[in-house]
Amino acid sequence: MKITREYFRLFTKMMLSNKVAFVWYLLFPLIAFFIFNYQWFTQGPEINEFYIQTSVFVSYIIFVMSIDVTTNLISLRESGFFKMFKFISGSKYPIIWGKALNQIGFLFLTILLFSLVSGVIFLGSFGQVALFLAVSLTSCILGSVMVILLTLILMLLPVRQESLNAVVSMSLLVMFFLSAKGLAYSTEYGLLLVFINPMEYVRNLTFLLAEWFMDSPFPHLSLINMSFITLCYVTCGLIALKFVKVISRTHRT
Amino acid sequence: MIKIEDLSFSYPKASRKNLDHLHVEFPGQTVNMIIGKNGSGKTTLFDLIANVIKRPSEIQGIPDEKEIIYQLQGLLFPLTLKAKDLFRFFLYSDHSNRIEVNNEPYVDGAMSQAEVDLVQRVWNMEFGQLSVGERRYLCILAITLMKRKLYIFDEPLAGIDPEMRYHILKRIEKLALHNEFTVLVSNHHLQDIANIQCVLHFIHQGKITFSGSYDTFIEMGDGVNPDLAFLEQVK
Repeated sequence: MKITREYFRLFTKMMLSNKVAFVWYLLFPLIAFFIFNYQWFTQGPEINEFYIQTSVFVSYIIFVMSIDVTTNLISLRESGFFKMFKFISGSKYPIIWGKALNQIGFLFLTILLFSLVSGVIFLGSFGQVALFLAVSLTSCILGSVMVILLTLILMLLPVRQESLNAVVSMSLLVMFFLSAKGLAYSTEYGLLLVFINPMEYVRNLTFLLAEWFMDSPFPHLSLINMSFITLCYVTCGLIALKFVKVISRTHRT
Repeated sequence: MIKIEDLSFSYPKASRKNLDHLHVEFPGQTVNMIIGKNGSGKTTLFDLIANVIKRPSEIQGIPDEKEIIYQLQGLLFPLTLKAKDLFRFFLYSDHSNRIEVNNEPYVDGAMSQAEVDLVQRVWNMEFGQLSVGERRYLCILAITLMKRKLYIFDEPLAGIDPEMRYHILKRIEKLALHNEFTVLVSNHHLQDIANIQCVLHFIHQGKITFSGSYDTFIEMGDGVNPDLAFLEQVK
């Protein structure tokens, strides 16, 4: 635990040293959200509509920041850091836990800021804001852990970090629009669409939680289907954790 | 002692063997200096010894993985990180660490006055303001404070000036001579080797073509310049 804390500390310093990216992570989703929903400034949203719209952004933020764990770990592996520090720490796991905790911490902050600002501006009461914070932050923690586990499987593929970044950037666009269009609820392939789109998975998770917290209906997959997908994500993560190598799969370090 | 008998290895899709029926013994309580051309198989050999690449049975006498340390050159750290924070990070991420690091510069009895001066000077400086040699010295200082049975240093002297090379080699030599450890170092700066007690191992085309003292090695050239002996070996 002490060693994991050291990695958490180092990765936090690394992240804070890149101030532009950090501020961008915090502000960009908020700016995009206000542009997408500018009409709410003149006429406030229905509570369900508010949750449906914000869930797209919450799941986007969670996915983008969670996959950074894998891309950063690949980058550390390509630079030789992973190889050397595996020997210093006696195991590869403190490095992975340190990075994951660091990323979840920043993600938590980002979601807190996003939910607080959007909730205070568009929701009617303190109770509604508190409920929205509870839903989005719980979704953030559960969703990020699952997405991190799933995306760790990418470390088993012989792919460079820059190639992965390009693939992720383009896939992100497709995933975002598939999620925003709500295709998972209007076709018979809903389960598959949620399974292959982690952003949609997180959105479903948010709806499930919102339904539990608010006792109000939201469109989402059944609990059984969601549990099945969760199990698959966890299995992918466990396989990746066991077999992930400390040396690059594409070049010598 | 590490003993390797008849070790052959090639990477998938490689056109030639990286290690070809290699035989060598690495004794303890001395620096085992591995030299050879770029691409001669030094890092591959280290990776196999450290089990980064699955270790074959031809390699014997390796301690448990937790008893190995493997130093690499040129790691990326935030430039705003202070030298003392970097030093602290190295020690505190070590699973066997017992040393407490505080705001005072780290010094110990094994350090020369020049090394003490260096540490005191850079302790509160940012990583980005340190020279490559100063960065490397700090990393190696931290690594030599870690308790292991096998130390592997992969080109610890690359890209740094003679003074820092001298301090780094002396630090590694002290580690090797004063304890019952096995120390492996790869290096291209042959003149520096004259400053320390070591066993030289020359690796060429995947084979160890020479193992012996520095003095015996330079005799293969003009008896003075180790680079000439090197050229003789690769002919």
